[in-house]
Amino acid sequence: MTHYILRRLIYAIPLLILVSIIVFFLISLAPGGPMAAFEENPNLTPEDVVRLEEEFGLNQPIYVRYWKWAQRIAVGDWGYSNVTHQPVLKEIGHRLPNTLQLMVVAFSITLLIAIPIGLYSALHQYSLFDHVATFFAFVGQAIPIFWFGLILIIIFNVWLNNPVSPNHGFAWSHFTQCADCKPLLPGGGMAPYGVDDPTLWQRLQHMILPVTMLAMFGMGTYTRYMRGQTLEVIYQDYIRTARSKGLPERLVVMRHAFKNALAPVITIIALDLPGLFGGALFTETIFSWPGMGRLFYRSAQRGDYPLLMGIVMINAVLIIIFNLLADLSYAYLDPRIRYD
Amino acid sequence: MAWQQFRHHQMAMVGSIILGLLIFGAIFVSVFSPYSPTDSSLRERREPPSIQHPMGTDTLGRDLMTRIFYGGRISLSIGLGATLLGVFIGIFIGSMAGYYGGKTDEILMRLTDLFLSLPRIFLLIIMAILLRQVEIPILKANGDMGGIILILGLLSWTSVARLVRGQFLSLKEKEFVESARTIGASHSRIIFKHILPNTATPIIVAATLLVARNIISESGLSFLGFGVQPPTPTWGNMLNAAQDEMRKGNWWMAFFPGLMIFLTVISINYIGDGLRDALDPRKVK
Repeated sequence: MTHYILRRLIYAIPLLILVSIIVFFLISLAPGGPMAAFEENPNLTPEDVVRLEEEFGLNQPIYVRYWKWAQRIAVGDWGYSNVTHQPVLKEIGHRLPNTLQLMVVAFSITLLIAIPIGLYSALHQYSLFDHVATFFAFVGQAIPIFWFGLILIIIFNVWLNNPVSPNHGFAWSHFTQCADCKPLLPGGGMAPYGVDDPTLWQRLQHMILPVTMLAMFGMGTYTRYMRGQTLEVIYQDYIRTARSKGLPERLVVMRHAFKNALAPVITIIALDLPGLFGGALFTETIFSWPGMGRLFYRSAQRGDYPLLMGIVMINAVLIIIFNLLADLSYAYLDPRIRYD
Repeated sequence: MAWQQFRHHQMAMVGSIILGLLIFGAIFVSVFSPYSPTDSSLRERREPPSIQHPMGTDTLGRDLMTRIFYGGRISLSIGLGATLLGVFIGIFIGSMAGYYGGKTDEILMRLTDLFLSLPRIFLLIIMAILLRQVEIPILKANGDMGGIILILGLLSWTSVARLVRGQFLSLKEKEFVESARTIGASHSRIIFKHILPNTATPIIVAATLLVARNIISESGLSFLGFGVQPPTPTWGNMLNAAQDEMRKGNWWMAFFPGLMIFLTVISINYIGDGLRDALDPRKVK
C-alpha cells in the first residue's frame, strides 16, 4: 500500500508541473504584467522602470522566468501580494483553515443526506418516495448555488426576524425589517461584527447559511448516482445468493448492496472536487466568509497575480491529495483492486 | 420512432415547452415589450412586481422582465456558442485519441485528465480578467460576449472528448471499418464518414447537457462580475447587480433572473434525459 501511495504521489508531480506551466503562461500574458504598477508611478522615470525590470529578471525569456519561478515555488518562496505586500503563503495560510472548515462540514452533510436518499430510492424503485426524491434531485442539480445562497439570505436574514423586544409580540415573518428586530440568522462573516472571540454558538449560527448553500452543491448529482449504482448492483447474483441463504434484508443491503454501490460513487465524487472548490468560492463571496475563495475573488478584482497563482496552485495540490484519499477508500471498499 | 419515445417522456415534453417559450420570448421581446433593456427611468426605480412591470424594476428603473428576455438572448447564445466550440474541440481530440491510439491516445488523455483536475471557475476567472485587457473587436462585442464564449468553449470539451474516444475505441474494431480500410479509404474518410456518424447519438445527449452547464458557468462568472459586462444584460450580471438590493428586501431583482437560469437548466436537463431514453438503440419499443 505504501508503495502504491508513493507511486501516486510521484505521478502527481507532472500534473502539478503542468498546472503551474498553464497558470504561469496565462498570467504572463497579462498586458503590462507585474510592471504595470510601476509604470503608473510618477516618481519613477522610464529608466528606473527598465532598471527594475532587469533587477526582477523580467527582460529574460519566458521559459527562464518560469524556471526561476518554479525553483522558488519548490522551496516555498511564493512571492508577495501586489496589494498587501504580505507573503503569498502567509495570506493563503490565514484563509485555508476557514475554507476547509466550510467545505468539510458542508460536504459531510451533502453525503449524509444524498447517499441514504439515493440508496432508499433505489431499494423502493418507483415508490412515491422514489419519484419525489428523483424530482428533487433534478431540481437540486439545476439550481445555481449562488442564486440559492441569495434566496437563503432573503428568507433567513431579511424576511424572518427574531423579535427582540417583547412588546413587539410574535413577529416572525414581518416581511419588512423593523427597527428592533434582529435577523433570524446572520447573513455574512464568521462572527458578529467587531467580536474577536466568538462563542461556539455564535460560530455555529454564522455557519448555518453558508454551509446550507455549499451543501446544495452536488446533492442532486450524488443522490442520482447513488440510486443508479444501487440499481446496478441490486439485481446481481451475489445479492440473490445472500438473500437465498437467508441473510436478513438489513445485512443484504448494508453489507452487500451498499458497499458495492458506494465504490463507483466515490470515484464520481472525487472527480467533482474541483467543482466543490468553485462552490466554496461562490459561498465565501456571498457570505463574506474569510476563506481562500473570497481571497481569490478579491485578488482577481485587484489584479493581484501572485496571489491568484498561489491559490490555483494550492487548489491543485489539495485536489490531488483528495483524489488520492478517494482512491484509497475505493481500495478499502472494493478488495478486488490490488495495488501492488 | 425516436420522437414517439421522446413524446412519452412527460418531463422532457414540459421542459421543451418551457424552453420553447423562453426562446420565443428572447427572440420577440422587442415586439411585445414597450420598454428598453438599457434606458433608465429614474422615476420608477426599485418598483416591486405590478401589472405594468410583472417582474418589477431594477435600481435604474428598467423593466426587469424586458431585461430578462434580452438577457436570455445573451445567456442562451453563450450557452449554445460555447457548447458548439467545446463539442468541436472534444470531437477532434476524442477521435484522434480513439482512432490512432498508442502514444497519441496517451498524451491526449493525460491532457484531458489535466483539464478535469483543474479548478475550472478559478481558471475561468483568470482567463476572463486577462481577456478584458485584449482589444479584439469580435471578442469585445456585446460586453465581452465573444470572449466569454471562447473561454467557456476552451474549458468544456473534456466530457465530449472522453465519450468520443470511448466510442472510437470500440467502433474502430467493427467490420464495417475493417471493410472500409480494405477498399483503401483514407484515415480522414474513415474517421469522418464511417465512425463519427455512428457516435452522433451520445454526442447529442452530452452536448444538450453541456449547454446547461455552460449557461450555469456563464451566469456564475457574470454573477461575480467577471463575465459579460453591463449594460448588456445577462441573467448572471443581473444577479450581481441585485446582490446588495436583496439584503434591503428587494427580492424580485434577484429572484427572477435566478429563476430563469433554474428553469432553463432544469428544462435542458430533462430534455437531455428524454433524448437519452428516446435515442437509446437498445430500447425496443
